[in-house]
Amino acid sequence: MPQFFLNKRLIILLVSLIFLVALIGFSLKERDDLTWPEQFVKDSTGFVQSIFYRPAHVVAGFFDNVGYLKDTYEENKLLRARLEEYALLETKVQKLEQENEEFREVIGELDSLSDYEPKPATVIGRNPDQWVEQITVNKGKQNGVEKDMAVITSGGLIGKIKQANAFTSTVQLLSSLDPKNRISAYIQGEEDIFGLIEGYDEEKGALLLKRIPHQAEVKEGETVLSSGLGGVFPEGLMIGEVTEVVADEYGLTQMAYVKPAADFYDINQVMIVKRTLISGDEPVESEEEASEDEEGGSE
Amino acid sequence: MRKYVLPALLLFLFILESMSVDFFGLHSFNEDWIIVPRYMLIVIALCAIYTSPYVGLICAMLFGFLYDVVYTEILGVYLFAFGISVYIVSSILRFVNTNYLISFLMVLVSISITEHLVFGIHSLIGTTELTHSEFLSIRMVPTLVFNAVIALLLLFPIKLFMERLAIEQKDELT
Repeated sequence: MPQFFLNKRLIILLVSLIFLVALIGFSLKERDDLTWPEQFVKDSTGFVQSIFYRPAHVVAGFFDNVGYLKDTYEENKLLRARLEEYALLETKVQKLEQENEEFREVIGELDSLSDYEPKPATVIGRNPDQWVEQITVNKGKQNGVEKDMAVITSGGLIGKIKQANAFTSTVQLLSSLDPKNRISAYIQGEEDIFGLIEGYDEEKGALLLKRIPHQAEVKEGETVLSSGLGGVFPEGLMIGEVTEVVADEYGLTQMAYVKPAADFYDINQVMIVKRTLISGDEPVESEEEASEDEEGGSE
Repeated sequence: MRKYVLPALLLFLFILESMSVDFFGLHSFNEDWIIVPRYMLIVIALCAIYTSPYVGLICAMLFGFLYDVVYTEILGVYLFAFGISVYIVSSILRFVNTNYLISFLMVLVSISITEHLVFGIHSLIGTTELTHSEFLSIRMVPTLVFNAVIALLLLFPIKLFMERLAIEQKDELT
């Protein structure tokens, strides 16, 4: 065994450990852009992935459709009942929208936080190891995608663009555990209650909405939407529904468990959302700074 | 000719892993379980067993690095984890003779080493809050069971393929 310590293999192991630590350290650093070899590899695998994903989408879509066919009758009945309500609702919405616009004109403020341009994209990959919840979509910088844009499905908000390459980009899902992943949100009720989405409870499968003022009354089943105050995401993107409210660690604020509205699995089509209202410089950092200031006392 | 089939097969499995998480309902077996498909690692381990440890190690590190770049964006994790687990498997194999049972067990060993290494690194850098027992129950056991089934299916065809590949390599050398 003493031979082992003189072994060439041990030295190789040690050197590779150092190399590993250096690599991980390098990749965990806040990076604005991936290095060009990484971008090149990601774009070229993205090309191969999209070749395989297209037929897979077709097959999966077919089985979904067969599934839907089974309960068509029941759904049809329900939908017919809903349709009448819908017509009523539509006229109401139209009236409200018109009114809203008129009021805006009166105030002289035409832009709103909730204006955005959607860009459709198709999912071409997902991180299979599920430690870091990430998907790859087939639109990149060439299509005007930039870092930190919001990504939604028909269900609601699913995440934000983590890295944009030339032809593909990576979306970090809300369910991944990243302390930098903060979204300013509010609970829609009689009175809007603001908080921050911070983190995800893996066991409960729920997002954590923290920093709710402790006197605020939050009811279960209320809807949580993005507030647009973070400066990156537009206002009014659906996030989820409150399932449980508890006191925060220090008892000064409340925390709500939010069941996400969007399904984080089986995502085919997404929309990459670009906010049209131009925000001030470095809005993300200012949001983080603000929340750190709040935190300052407790730490 | 067969030596070009191996990288192509591995690349296909590489993409199939992400597709099977996304489409084929691996998540819907049980909401609480996290099943990670490891088709690529199974084939790489079998490659190390039936052709040569050297080829296996090269494949492990190459595709491990590809995995890091494309899927996780944390470089080095799988490069290291795949490399170490294939290395350990091939050094165990120096002491035992291969048969179906042993190679099946070796595949499971390589998967559990990989999962543990990756879990260790993620808890070090703080991207997970799972404790070790939680990790075992929600991630490790379902993953092992699922991959054991896949390994049983792949074992025979891959063994045949690898042995022919090994013979071809020897022919080329002589």
